[in-house]
Amino acid sequence: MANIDDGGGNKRAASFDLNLVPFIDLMSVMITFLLITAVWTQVSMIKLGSSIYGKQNTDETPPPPPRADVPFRLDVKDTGYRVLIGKQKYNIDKVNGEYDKEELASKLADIKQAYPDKVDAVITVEEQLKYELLIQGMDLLLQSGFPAVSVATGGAE
Amino acid sequence: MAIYAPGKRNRRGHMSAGKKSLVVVLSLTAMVDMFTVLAVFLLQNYRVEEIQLKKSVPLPEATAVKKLKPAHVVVVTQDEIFLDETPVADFETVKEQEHWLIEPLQESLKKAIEDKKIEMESGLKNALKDAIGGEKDPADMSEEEREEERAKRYAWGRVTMQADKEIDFLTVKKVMYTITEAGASLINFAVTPKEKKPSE
Repeated sequence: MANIDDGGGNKRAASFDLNLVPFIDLMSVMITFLLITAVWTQVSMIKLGSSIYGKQNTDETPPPPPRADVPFRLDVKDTGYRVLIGKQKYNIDKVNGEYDKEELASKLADIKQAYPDKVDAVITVEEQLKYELLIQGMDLLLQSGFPAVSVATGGAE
Repeated sequence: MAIYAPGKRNRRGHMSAGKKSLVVVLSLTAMVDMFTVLAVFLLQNYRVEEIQLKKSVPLPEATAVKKLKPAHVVVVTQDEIFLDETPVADFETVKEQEHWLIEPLQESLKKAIEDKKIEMESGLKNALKDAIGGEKDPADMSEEEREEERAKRYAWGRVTMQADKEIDFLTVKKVMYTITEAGASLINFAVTPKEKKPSE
């Protein structure tokens, strides 16, 4: 128990103990409860942009994003990535069996530089590939400044 | 906290023998300090899970992430497909089926979305908002604000998909197609946030 003393002197000494036991009890119970109920796994989300191409379930149609006239698509294929911008095509093949994410990021940065207003992009993934690759591709598009990402239901050609 | 030496005591609790008494004061200050700091830290980080996610599903990692918002959750594991923790379809059956529509999931999700829509539209919050009418003119909003406003208005149709990172994309497409057919307006993907590398 915490002891409080006024230092004595000639006057009558005022010394008393502060009872910390209930405080420690409360703390112990609270800490145990908080530790048990704490959420340790962090989960976030990435979202699909509202697409003008998709099925509309709401009353209003979202306005077309700027520079929607320039087709921009990222294909995730078994052999690597393929980027289609306007009429140009770029193949980014796998390096040592791994997708070349650095090369794709630099290509996407070039496209963003060429079309700074453009925010929409379409991503396609081959059907047999893992779902993880879709998220990887979407993440790279979002990082490169294309927040309105749509997923095309047709597979990569 | 004082600790008294053991020994024979009289009725008043004092040592009966005439020996010198031993009193040790145990300092609790450090422990109380530690408890306080720990309690403050835990309270700061305390949050109620707004969304019912399955903990056993390995999620893909991403860096451009946003905070999870309350929504219907469709969980796709290697064994089953769940809607808000209720199993609705078998994974293998969905994987093998030719057509894309997963009927049990569509029916359950459609009902859940309709219920949510009714609940939100009849809510007190909405009634107050309409009465005050303090909405901004869409023409004054930026592209991002407009998107946020739209997401808020159609929040009843928000669906978060939590899928195992190892499953094939065709099954994911079937689930996404069914979610859209059920009337969902926004689809989000649950991911594990990853620190962005400085070189990237």
